[in-house]
Amino acid sequence: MMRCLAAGLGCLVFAALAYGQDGGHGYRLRVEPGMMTMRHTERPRLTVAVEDASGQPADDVQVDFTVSEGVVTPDGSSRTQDGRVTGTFTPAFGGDDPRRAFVVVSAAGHEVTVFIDIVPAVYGR
Amino acid sequence: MSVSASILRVAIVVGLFAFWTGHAWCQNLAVFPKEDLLLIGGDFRLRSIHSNMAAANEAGGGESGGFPVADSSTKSFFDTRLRLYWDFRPSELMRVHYRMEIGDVRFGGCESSDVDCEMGSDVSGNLVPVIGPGAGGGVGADGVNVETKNIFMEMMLPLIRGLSFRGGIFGYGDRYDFNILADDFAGLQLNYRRGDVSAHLVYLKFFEGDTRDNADDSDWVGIDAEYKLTPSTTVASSFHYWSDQENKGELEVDPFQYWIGLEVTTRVGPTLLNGYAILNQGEGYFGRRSGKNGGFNASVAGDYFLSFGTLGLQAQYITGEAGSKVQLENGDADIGAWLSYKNHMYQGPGIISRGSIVDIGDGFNSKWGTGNGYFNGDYNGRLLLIARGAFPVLQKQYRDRVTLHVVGAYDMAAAENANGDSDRGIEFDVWAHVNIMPKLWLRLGAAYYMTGDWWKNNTDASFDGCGRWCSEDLAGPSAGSDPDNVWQFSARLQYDFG
Repeated sequence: MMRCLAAGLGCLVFAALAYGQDGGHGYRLRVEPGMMTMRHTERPRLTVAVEDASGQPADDVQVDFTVSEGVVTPDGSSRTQDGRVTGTFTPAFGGDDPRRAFVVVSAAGHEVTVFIDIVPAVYGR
Repeated sequence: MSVSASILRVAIVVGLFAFWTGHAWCQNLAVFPKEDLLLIGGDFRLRSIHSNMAAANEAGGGESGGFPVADSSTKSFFDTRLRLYWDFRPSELMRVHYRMEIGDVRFGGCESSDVDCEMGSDVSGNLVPVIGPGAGGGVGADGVNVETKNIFMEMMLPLIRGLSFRGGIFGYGDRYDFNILADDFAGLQLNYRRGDVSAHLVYLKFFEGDTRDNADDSDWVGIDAEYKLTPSTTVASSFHYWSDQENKGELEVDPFQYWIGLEVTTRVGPTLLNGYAILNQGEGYFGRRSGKNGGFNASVAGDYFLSFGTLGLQAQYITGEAGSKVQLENGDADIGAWLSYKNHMYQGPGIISRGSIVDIGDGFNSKWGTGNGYFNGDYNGRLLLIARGAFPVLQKQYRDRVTLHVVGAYDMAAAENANGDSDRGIEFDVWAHVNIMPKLWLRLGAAYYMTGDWWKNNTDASFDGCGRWCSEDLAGPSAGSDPDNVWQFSARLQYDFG
C-alpha cells in the first residue's frame, strides 16, 4: 500500500502487488486480476505468480483455489512452474442473477481473495 | 526491341507479381484476417406467473409497476424470451458484439368474462402489451418483436497495458446493487483493468441524442475505480452525473443529479462483508414543482458460507424521514429525497438480494409505489431488512443439483402516512432452483406479502397504484383499499448456451 502511495499514479499502470513477506525465506504472492466484473457465461483466467524473497520466480510451490461458487480449474499442474500457475474460473451455472463470488488463492502460507462481481449480461459495467 | 517495350514487359511482370502477392497477402496477413465467428450464445426462457397482483396498470405506473387493481382477481400468464449474441473476434485485442432479444412475448391474462378485465390484444390479454398488439404468438401474428440489446466494439488500446475502449450500445449499471441506474445505453467507455486496479470512465447519451427535441436528451457521465487495499479487502468509489433533460419540464435551468459513492468489500474467514454509502444531490422538476433534493442511501450486508449452505443479512436505509411527499406539497424549496434513474425506470429501488427475489416475487415491496412515480421522491425513504439463505438439498456429487432459496424482507417507510404508520410490510420468498442438466435449469417459487398499516387509509399510496390521482381524476375513490393476502407463484425454465 505504501509503495503504491509513493508511486502515485504508477499504481495505475503497474501489475498486481505482491503479498507476503518482503525478506527472509518467505514467498510473495501475486494474483492477476485482483478483482473482476464478469457475465455468467464468461470463463476468466486467473494467473498466480509466486516469488521468493529476492523476487525471483519460485517453482514447485502448491497453489490452491477455494471458491464461493463454481470451480477454478488449473490449466495444468497446480504447482508453480516458472513461478506461475494459471486457472480458469467457471461460475455456478443457473442464470445471471447479480451476485458477488470470490476465489481465495492460497500458496506458501499466504492468501489473496479475488472478488468477482457477476452481473447480468444486458447491463454490466 | 525498343525501350518502351522492355518497360512495358517489366511493368506487366511487376504488376502481376504485385497482384499475386497482394492477393496472398490480403488472405493471410494477421492484421486483417478473415473474421472468425468465435462465439455464439444466449439463453431461452419460458416463464409463468400466477398471482393476484400480476396485472400491470397503466395508470398506476405502467408495465413494470405490477400494481394489482382493487379487488383484483387472480391472473395467470406465461411469457417466452430468446436472447442471442454473437462475438466477432478477429484477434485477442478486439471484438464486435451484437446481442438481440426476441420477446418477452406474453400469452394469457384475464378472462373476458371477468368484469375487472381490461382486455388488450389477443396476445397481451390484460397485461400491458410489451411488444405491441398483433406481435408475437398471436394466431397469424408476424409483428415486430425483436429488440437490439447491445451492439458495440471493444478493443485494447496501445501503450498502456490493460486499457481498453468500448463504444456503441452496451449495458451499464452501477456497482451499488444497481440502485442508481441499470439498462442498455448508447455511449463510450474507457476501461482499465489490471492487477489490483479496476477503473472506468463512461459517457452515456440517452435516447435520440441531439437529432430531435421531443424526447429525453440527457447526458450521463460516470467514473468508477476499485482498488485492492489488502489481500482480502477492496475499496471502490464512483461519481455519476446526470444532466437530466427528461425531467426539465418548464424549468429555465438544466436540472441535474449527482451521486458520490463509496463501497468496501472484505472477506473475513468464511464471511463476505459488503457495505456502501451513496450521497445524492440535485435539482430538478419533480412532477408538480421544481426544487432541490438531497439524500443518501446506505447498505451493509454479510453472507456467511457454511457447509450446509449460505446465510446472509442485509440492512439498507434510504433517507426520507421528513416525508418528501409532504415537503413537495408544502412547497418546500428543498426536499429530503433520494432520487435515481433506476427508480425512474422501475418505480423504486429493486431489492437485489444477491439472488433472485425480484425474479420470483417480482419484488413486491420494491415495485409498489405511489403510482405517480417514485422518481418524484414521494416515498423513496425506507429501511429494508433482508434475511436470505441458500441451501443445497442434495449431497456429494448431486450437491449442485437442487438449491432451496429462502428470503424474508421487512420494509419500513421513512415517512409515516397520515395515520402515523410506517410499517409497509413483510415479504417472504421461497424458491427451488433445479439444475436439470448443464445449462438447463428450472426454478419454482412462491412469494407472499403481509402488508403493513402504512398502506391502510393512505390516500397517497393505495394498492391500485393510483393513489388519490386515480381517486379524484380517474376511477373514483380508491383510498382505503387494503388487499392483504397478496401472493404469487412462478415457474421458470431456462437454457443458457454459449
